[in-house]
Amino acid sequence: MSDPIDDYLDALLFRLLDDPSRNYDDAAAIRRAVAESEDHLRETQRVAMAGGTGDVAAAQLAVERFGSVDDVAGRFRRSGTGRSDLTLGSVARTLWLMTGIGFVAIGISGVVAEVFGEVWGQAFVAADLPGVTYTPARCAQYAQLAPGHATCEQAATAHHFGEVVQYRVAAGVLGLLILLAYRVWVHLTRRRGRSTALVPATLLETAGAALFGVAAAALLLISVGQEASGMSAGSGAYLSAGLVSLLMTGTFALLLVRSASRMDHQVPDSSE
Amino acid sequence: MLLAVLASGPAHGYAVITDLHQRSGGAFDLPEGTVYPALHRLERAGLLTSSWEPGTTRRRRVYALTAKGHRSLAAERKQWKVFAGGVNLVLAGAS
Repeated sequence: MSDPIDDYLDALLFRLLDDPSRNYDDAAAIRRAVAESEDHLRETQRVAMAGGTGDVAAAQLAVERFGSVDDVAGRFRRSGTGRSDLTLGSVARTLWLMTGIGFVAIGISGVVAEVFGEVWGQAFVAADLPGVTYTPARCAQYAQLAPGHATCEQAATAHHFGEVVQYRVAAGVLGLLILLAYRVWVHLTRRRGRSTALVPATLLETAGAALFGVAAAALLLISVGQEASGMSAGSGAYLSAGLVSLLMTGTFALLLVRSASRMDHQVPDSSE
Repeated sequence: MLLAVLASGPAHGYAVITDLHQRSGGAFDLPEGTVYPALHRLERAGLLTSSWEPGTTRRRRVYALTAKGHRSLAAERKQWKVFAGGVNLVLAGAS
């Protein structure tokens, strides 16, 4: 039969570690919280057993008097155990991470633009606006850059489409390299026992949702505006970027709701 | 309240909670695990200091008031007396 105190401590440790904004410097604080909790629980068990209670019942009593894991873990988090602080270092690390995520999002929009081109044609993503004329020199240049097309307009569209997709995918690759560098840095820094903490989770998620939300609104409005005014040529470029921004906004918003609901479960302390 | 309990001398968390329960005549029957985060926060605020107690079979951390903690306790006691006096006057007037 498992020991109720061991089970409780396992659950408490799990909850204290289960925090994306956890400051690595707080590993010692988390270890201390669990050690103090164990000492208290074992002492309560010992006193109860001295009064004639059986060992398992005494352990159960100690756990019940200690409070729920959710409540205790939540209060430890609020006390600073396992919680990030807003420092210059944490802001810089967060900017590093967010820059990588931003570039990866641009790369994903390049893939979406490629799909749009396959489904609705390259003109939907990258055609010049109606009425644009091409000089013979410019036309020859496009024919050289995108050979095999019957008209200057088609060659220009193919060239622009290639630029939209390739530049964005290149940005995505750059983003992956930034994130890889970040991951390596985190690994090496943790091995040296130094901080890799980000800004508090709710702040990071709010900033992410707000930034991508503004980008999504602007890009989608431009795209819809172009469609509404009958100038659908090229609107797919904005639409692809807008949809990816919207997806990122939703992701950050979901993470924010999860973090906020965790905070809602934390009751203010009354013992101080 | 935790500062008041520790004003009489250093104590570990279990003793603090037991003392708080006894001094309040059982009125403060808090979930015991919630007191440790409060002790940690007071320590981060500089009102308490703590260290692992040497020579015990289990690791046990002992808390003690700092000079800042003593000053904070004195200020809070004074503030509470003013508040409690005001409440007593209002309640006496109501009866």
